[in-house]
Amino acid sequence: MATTTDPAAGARTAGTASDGDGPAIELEGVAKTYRAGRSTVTAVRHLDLAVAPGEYFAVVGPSGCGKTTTLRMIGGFEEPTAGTVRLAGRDVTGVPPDRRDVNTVFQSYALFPHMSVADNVAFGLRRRRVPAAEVRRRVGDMLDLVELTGVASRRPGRLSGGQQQRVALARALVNRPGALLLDEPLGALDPLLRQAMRAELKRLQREVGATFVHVTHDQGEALAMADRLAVMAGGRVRQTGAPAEVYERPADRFVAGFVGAANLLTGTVRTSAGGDGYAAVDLDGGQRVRAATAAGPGARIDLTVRPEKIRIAAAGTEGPDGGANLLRGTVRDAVYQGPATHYTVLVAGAGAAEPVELVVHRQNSAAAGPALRVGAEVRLTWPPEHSHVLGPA
Amino acid sequence: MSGATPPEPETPAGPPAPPGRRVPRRRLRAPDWGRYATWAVLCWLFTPIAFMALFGFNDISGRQNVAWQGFTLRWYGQVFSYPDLTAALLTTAVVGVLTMLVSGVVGGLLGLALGRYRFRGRGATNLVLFAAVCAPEVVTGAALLSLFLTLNIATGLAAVVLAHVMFTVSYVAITVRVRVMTLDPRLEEAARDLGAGPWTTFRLVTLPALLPAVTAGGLLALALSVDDFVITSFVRGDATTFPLWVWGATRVGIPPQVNVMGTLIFATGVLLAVGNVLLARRRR
Ligand SMILES: Nc1ncnc2c1ncn2[C@@H]1O[C@H](COP(=O)(O)OP(=O)(O)O)[C@@H](O)[C@H]1O
Ligand SMILES: [Mg+2]
Repeated sequence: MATTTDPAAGARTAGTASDGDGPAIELEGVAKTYRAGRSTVTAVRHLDLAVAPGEYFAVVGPSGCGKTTTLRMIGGFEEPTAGTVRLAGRDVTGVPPDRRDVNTVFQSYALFPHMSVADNVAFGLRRRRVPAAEVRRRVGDMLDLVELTGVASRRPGRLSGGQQQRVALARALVNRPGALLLDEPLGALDPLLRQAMRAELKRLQREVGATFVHVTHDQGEALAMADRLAVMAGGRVRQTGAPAEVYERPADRFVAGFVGAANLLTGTVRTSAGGDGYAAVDLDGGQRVRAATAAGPGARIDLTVRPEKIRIAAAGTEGPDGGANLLRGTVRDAVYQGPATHYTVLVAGAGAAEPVELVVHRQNSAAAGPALRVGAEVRLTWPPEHSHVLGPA
Repeated sequence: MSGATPPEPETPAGPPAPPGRRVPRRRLRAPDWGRYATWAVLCWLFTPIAFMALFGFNDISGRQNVAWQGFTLRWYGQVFSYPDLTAALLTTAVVGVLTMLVSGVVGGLLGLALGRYRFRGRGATNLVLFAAVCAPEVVTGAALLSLFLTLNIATGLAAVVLAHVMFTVSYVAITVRVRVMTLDPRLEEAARDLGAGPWTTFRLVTLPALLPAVTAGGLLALALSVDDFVITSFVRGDATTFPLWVWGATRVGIPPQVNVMGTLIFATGVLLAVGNVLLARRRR
């Protein structure tokens, strides 16, 4: 696109992501406590975060965990009660939003209702006294990029939700900020449009090459879009990493349960890891599984198995599952989901122990056998590398 | 609602309508009281105004303008033939416009502060605003007069403007405050985010959003000022406004010029109101 190949681009925004190799955004020991009358609310407890230049970074967590507050501290709308915020290596604590090289896409879009779409998009450039001809050209290019050229002279109030969202994006991106902050950018869109906008946002980010920080409560969105993501809960970051890393190796019970579906099991180490790195673990239900852990005998551990890692087969159809964990149970529930069927399997405990329920996702692929009925006796197997041991939650 | 078709008997428990043919639910055929009432109220409100306008065209001789004598446009031609009436109208216009401007600015800022910030004395200010609206005018007028006398402020034109600002500023402040409270604070944050300083943000985002409310409040102040009799009569000194002149003239008979001026004032008010609505609509 014409916008990205503009030689005058980098010159204007000082301290953009491209200078230096340091993080574009860095939060160090950041905390925020709101004071509402006599009571206080701690929205962010302690936050260390570093976002690399050009990265698509997602912050995901349940509602009220402090995501918006975090974003507002980066944007300059809230001052942290403790800690420092650095943009491209510069400490911006105390710097007002108009003097920070980041732009925000607000959850409500916050488009100026009395200005046309083009004037909304031109707002930031005009504040920086960009010459009128260049403003016109860059606004035109940006409206092309988000496919809104036809509505340039309309008021935002006359646009659909999806169009308003793209105006908000264009209004921020036209300034070529060092980083773009997006607060639940897809939250107000209907599900179909949301899906389309995921791809659209990724395309935009690739084309402008800016750092994106995308806040969402939708873990699926974060997994699908982010290069790296931070999982937040209760005003803290629980885990940071690439989507596959966070999904496959969740740091604790919270992350395991929040990102994707997970079977959570607890047990006691029986014999510590042998030559293959796997220890034998007695689950609280009495079943024995193998998992990679350095814990010694007698240690209590939590482990998790993702539902799609478990193979489910009717009892009696013994397969070549050498070395795999094996549990036997009864199908309690089967929910047909189209591409996959989700089974809930009751694994009986030994003696008086509580039975364990495991969720298993089986692809309805061409190779899959006949559907398993509720009440069917089944065997569950999974390779021990997929019994992921969690840290303390 | 066509009254020609004979009413079919209602069959609530009857068989369901055959598929493909929707049976319209019949409305109750009661007289449309709501509409009649609206028209009645409108007539009630506009009849006196219509009479005022009509008697501006009354072809009378002498000063008694009470019985219809015939149609003439004479009074429109001679509308300024009473110099002291013209002066009173001018005074009213000057006082009204000054009141509108001062109340608009002061009330607008007051409304902004009350709607936006929490500060010491905010509750008290709110209370005073409502008290000023609720207080009987005689009380306000008498109080203002004694205040002016105590403070040695000369009664007259300036005192009238001061008094009018005092009782109209509340209306502007209240109108603007409501608008401020419904204004999305993210709009101003977005402006700051895009590089606008506090003053530019106010000028380009806050002010345009508040302007319709300020204008509406200002027009209300203008209307209240033009029309005020009670408070003005306390602090007038030797100044005479249009309402005061009319009141003085009742003893000797009100000339049709007063009707003409009244009609023109009314027309101006309607034009301003319609203009404000159209402007507000265009801004959306
Ligand atoms: N301006 C504020 N004043 C007081 N409390 C606030 C304010 N903003 C947010 N909070 C509180 O801080 C917590 C975190 O809020 P927020 O950052 O908006 O979470 P999220 O965006 O993850 O849903 C919540 O408990 C919320 O009620
Ligand atoms: Mg939020």
